[in-house]
Amino acid sequence: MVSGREKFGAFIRREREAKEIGLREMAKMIGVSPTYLSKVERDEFPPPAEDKVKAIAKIIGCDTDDLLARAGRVSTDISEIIKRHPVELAALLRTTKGLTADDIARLARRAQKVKDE
Amino acid sequence: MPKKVPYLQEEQIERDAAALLAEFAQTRSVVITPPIPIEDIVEKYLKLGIEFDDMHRLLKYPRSDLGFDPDILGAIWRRIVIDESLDPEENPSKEGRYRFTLAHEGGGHWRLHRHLFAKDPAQVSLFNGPVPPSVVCRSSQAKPREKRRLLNFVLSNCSWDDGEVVATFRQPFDLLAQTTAISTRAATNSGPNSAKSEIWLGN
Repeated sequence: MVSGREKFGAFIRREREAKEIGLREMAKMIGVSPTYLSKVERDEFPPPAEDKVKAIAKIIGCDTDDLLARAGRVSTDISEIIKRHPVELAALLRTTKGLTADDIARLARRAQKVKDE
Repeated sequence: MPKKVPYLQEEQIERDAAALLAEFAQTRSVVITPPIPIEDIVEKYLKLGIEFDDMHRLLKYPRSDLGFDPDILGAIWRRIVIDESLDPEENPSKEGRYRFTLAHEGGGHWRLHRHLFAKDPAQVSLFNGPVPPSVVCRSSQAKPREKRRLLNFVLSNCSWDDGEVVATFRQPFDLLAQTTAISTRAATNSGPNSAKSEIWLGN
């Protein structure tokens, strides 16, 4: 989990309430019980499975990867990509250490350009 | 510490309930039809969050051990906390009690008594610290120890026979049980008026 950030449960509760979505309403949407969701929102239970986190991200309108990071997870498709080229991608990710979010976004755009050519 | 709550006439409570429904209908531009959208009223109009938790564990208050019904149904800490046994999705039979508790906490206590609550910013969240709730609502005022004593008394006159609980009636309850059985049989045989059986008059 990214340190210094609001915890997963507190974040989704705040976003849910800001969007005026009821606890039971949201629990139904993601297919869990209100009691379970209530405990997740209090960070008493760990974040739910990846598919549920993705569903929550869609409902509250936030970036899926960002919410997965708050849940201390990495999307399965990202893990699969890394597993295909573990050495190269580990090296690439290490080089991004210390870069700002803007720098990384620029790098991603360049990579996309290379890919398109 | 218990707080004295001023008595309100039934008409006053009814007037306030009607006012709350009218305010909600006007604010949200909706026509309210049964079932009353109590969750929307509480969460979206009164802006009170709903949570589920084990109230007995939370308040360190032992359950009475009689069945599975909680003694504490809900409480308010600027959020309404409902006992998890009333979760209507996990226990659909509790839907009515869940809705009633929500209305009782939000429509009742929050609307009618919130001016009596401590204006302590620390009470904004239940989980910020060991702050007692503003209102704790119990299903019964009977003390668990008393309930347990009564249950022990009842069960001390019962035995387990071939998978069934068999009650042994001692005097004078044996006579009462016998009379009731005769009366029930008479009622079954001769229609609804037989409840006025003469057997109750004795000799």
